[in-house]
Amino acid sequence: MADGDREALAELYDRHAPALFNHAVALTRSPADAEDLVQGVFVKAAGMGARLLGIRRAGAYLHRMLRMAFLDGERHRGVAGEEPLTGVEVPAGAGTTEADRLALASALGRLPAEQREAVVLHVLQGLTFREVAAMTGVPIWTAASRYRLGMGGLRGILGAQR
Amino acid sequence: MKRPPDEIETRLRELTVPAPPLDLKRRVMAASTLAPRASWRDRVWYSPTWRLAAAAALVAMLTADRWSAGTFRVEMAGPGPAAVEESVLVAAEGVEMGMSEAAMARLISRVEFAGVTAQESREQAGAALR
Repeated sequence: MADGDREALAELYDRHAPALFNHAVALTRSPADAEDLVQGVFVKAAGMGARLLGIRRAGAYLHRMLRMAFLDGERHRGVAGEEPLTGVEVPAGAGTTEADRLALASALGRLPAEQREAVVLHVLQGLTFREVAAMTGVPIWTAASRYRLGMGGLRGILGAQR
Repeated sequence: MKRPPDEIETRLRELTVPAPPLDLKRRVMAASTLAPRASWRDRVWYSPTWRLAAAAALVAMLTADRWSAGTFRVEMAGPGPAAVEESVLVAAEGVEMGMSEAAMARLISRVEFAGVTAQESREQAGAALR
């Protein structure tokens, strides 16, 4: 892509866009906002040119770019913390009711962004804490701690709703 | 030992986040302006291998410089006997022409004893005149 190759950009998108979109939904709680965030990341990466040559792990780098873009936008917007996580789907026959899905999505949406991010990346994307740490730019124990706090938060919220 | 997933983890695993919409790729490709082709200078500058090599070379140079300061320092050589003899003659003529001994000593030290410390050069020039 540093050679100004559009094919390379398309390949980069195909390889990383699904995971980035998941990450973006976890952060923004909205697929529409997630689309904007992901688009912004790829547009920015395309303009980086030669600086891309110094990047070893493109995936982790793109995730960190996404995260920084989100935090930057959040600082400017001052996002409220009570919106449910929208866009998540339950496959047919999963044994979970619509009410359960809504409750879980709502509970996830109420978690602080960093904890929600750790829970979604670890559980929904199946990433190890090492990978979560690389993507979020924090030490492994911080990623694990955020996940534990997030799960504790979910238990607390869902338990209180019963 | 891996602990079994609890109920909430199981319920979370049943959720799926939708894939990015198909037209997102089209939008990304349309909105992206690719930077011009990287020049060879950029390739060198941004290459991790080059940066590592440059850092290693710098460390090696500093190490060699520090090491040689204690081991290979070249002592500044003073003037040879012939130069001293000639200086004495020049100084004597200078004194005869009316210059002071101190002024001649300073003059000769600048020419003959450049490279040694000021104190040493004064001492050597003074000794040569005596």
